Amino acid sequence: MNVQFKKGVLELCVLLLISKKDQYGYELAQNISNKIEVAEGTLYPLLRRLTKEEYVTTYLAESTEGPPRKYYSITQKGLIYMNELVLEWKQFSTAVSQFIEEGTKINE
Amino acid sequence: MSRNEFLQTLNSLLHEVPEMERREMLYDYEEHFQIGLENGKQMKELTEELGDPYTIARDLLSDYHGTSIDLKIKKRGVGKKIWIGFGLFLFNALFIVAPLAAIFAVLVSIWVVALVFTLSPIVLITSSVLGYSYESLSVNFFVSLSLFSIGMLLGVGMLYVTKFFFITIKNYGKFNAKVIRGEQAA
Repeated sequence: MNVQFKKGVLELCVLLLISKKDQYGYELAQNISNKIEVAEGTLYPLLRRLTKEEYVTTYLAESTEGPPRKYYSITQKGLIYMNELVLEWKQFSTAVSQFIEEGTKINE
Repeated sequence: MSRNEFLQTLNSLLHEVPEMERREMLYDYEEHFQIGLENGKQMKELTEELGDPYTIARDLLSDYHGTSIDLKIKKRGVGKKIWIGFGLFLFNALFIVAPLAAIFAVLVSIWVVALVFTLSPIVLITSSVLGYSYESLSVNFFVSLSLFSIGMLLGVGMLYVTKFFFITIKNYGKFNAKVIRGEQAA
């Protein structure tokens, strides 16, 4: 899949996952790579950017095993941004689905 | 790639980022390795899942600079272009021109053979008819028929080969121009 396109979609997926529950990086990477083929390493730059733009915040929390973990949590600004992205995505995917439907009809 | 190799590669790729921020960037990956290993993953598995450190570094750097570094195509000065052009010219003169000329000569000779074969019926049959040939007309007829068909087939095959040859040369020329302009070859 096109890299730039995938990046945009990943951003949305990350925000959606964090909005449901605060997560640490590794957990988030697993949740995403279970469903989407992605180089997990590229999620951290994305998370840094989202933090920089104040869509998410981070905090350290102790874990039962090993050192504390860096958790990501969505902000109010992030929620607003996420809802915009969801709306955009829905419009976009409806359009694409229509194109696919029309495209495959001809081939039948 | 091991954990240390991965982190070291990333660290050296990010050398232009100040120490503090670089540590933060690397911390995320250290934590990732830590938790991954606690969850029973193999080192190899973890580095494979993380992906190419170069891609990661590019993402981190482009955010660090606040712009996408992909957009910054390095503009080369005229002086540098001349130097690169001269270097390419030398390389081509030394290593490319001779093999190319040889291949070209082979192509031309096969074309000549194809042409001669195709035209052979005219020579053979007329010489038979005029009585210059030692062979009988029927032998000459069949020989020339075979030669004619081989010539035609050869000609058709050579059309493709020649076309491929020139397209390759054209692409190589484009590649050279790209190198001089300084764009990525990809």
